[in-house]
Amino acid sequence: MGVELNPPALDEIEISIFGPGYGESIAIHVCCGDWILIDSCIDQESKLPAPIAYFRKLGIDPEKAVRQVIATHWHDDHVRGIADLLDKCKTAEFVLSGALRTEEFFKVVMLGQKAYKSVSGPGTDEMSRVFEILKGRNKKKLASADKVLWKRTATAGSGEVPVEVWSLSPSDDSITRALAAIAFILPTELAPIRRVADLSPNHAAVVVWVKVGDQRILLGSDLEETNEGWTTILSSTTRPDGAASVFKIPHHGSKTAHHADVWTKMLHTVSFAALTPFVRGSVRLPTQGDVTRITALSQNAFATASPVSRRKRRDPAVEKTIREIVKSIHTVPLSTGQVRFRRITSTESSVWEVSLINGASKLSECLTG
Amino acid sequence: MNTATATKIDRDTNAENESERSPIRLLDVSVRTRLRDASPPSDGSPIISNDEIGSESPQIDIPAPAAVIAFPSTTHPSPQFRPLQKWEGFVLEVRGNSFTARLVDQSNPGTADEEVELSLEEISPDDLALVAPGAIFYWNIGYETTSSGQRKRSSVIRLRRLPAWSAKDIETAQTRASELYKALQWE
Repeated sequence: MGVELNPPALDEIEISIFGPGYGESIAIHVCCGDWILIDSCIDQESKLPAPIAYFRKLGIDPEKAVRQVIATHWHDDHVRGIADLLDKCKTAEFVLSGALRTEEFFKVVMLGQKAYKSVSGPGTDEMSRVFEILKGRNKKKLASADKVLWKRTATAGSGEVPVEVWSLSPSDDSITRALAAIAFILPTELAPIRRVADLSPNHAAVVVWVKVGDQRILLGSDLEETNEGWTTILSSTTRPDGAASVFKIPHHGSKTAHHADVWTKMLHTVSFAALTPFVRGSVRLPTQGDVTRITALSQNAFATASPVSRRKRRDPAVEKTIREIVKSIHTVPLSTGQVRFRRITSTESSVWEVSLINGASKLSECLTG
Repeated sequence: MNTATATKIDRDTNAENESERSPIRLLDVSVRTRLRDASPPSDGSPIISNDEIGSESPQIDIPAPAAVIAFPSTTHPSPQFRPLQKWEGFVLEVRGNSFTARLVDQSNPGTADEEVELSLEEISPDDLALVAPGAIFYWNIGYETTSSGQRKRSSVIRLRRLPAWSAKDIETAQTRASELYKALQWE
């Protein structure tokens, strides 16, 4: 059954999570026509950033509606198309992880412009274009632990709706670790000119907390527990209080991003959760173990796409050779699945409505293809 | 006219030393074939066979070659590769004895990219040191015909040898990064 694509009502919260299998982006309607966009991935059908493609279907003008564009970190799978996204959101403020505002990172980006370009450009290309766009804009902000990124009180229906957007990371410690990681990947003289490598693990990822009326939303980006990313957030005394009812599960549901206390201390007992899958080589996230763990914590867990491999059809001789020598091969998924949560803010009895669009599924079913 | 020219060449190649003639023998044969296969002239005059060609035949002056270069005659064709599938790839990650790479289909442009995990054993020893995240390579699968004429299925991975960063590259990037850092004011 098709999902009707109409804009949310002014007093309706929407969280749309897009994920094609390699890539992630989130669009949040925080009430009264104001949208916040987080990260970017490409909608393969339209070749546009996924939120922009979605806005076109809804008839929303991103130039007027988007208040902030947040880049949580600069991995390829989170920044593809973010320069186009920012360019189309001309009145939006841009938010960058505080860990990336360093001369070393800018140097990596500058060197990335000279590095080899293939059809799939690296994240440094996107960041380079973002910086060029930002030269002509006044609105830019750095995200760090427990910082208010955006705030307003809107009037919806008969009441006022307070809206707050916070960053819960990166912590000072994470920023220090990220700087060391950036120094490590910085090209040196006489080293071969290669594609610029990703930072790993995700020290600098920005976790976002959104409060709309009495509802709270936790968006975990790719923050991993490696080096106590989540422990630091949990132990903070300055983070906003309350429990979230919707959770974007961090880092594609991986075990390395799991902290049991997040589920008990930062989320409602009955919460809604969603993740985007990640497929790279033989790495598939979530794994069956991840699905089992998450579905035991939330019966309302969803995935934007399936991490199950798909193969191209080819000449039999080519297929035979591939079978003989590769350990694994799969296509990078083309369709951009979407999990959409909506809820009216002005009615206490309202509940979250979930729509699964373009191949999204319940998490428990995502591994069965 | 053509017949006359061919006749002259044929006679000039009729050297005493057989070993010196060998490179031109092919031309000799082709001339003979041409003569033998020729249709009777439309004016009814007879075809002149090679054996009948003598000193009385029409003469055209052709300068003697400065030197005759003798190429070794060979009957073995050089090895050939007929690609069935071509990719350009870049290495994403090296883990243990294998690596993961993103593949861009060069045989079917515009189709979905692929990701592959390959063993390092598939890489030539000379290229192994080049396998690192960001390294570019070309991968072809196809049929190779060897010099002995045998055909076999073949997979060929070649790492691209990229230039190195120069001191000037690094210095320029540092200058531009500093300028950008100062130009962008953040809240």
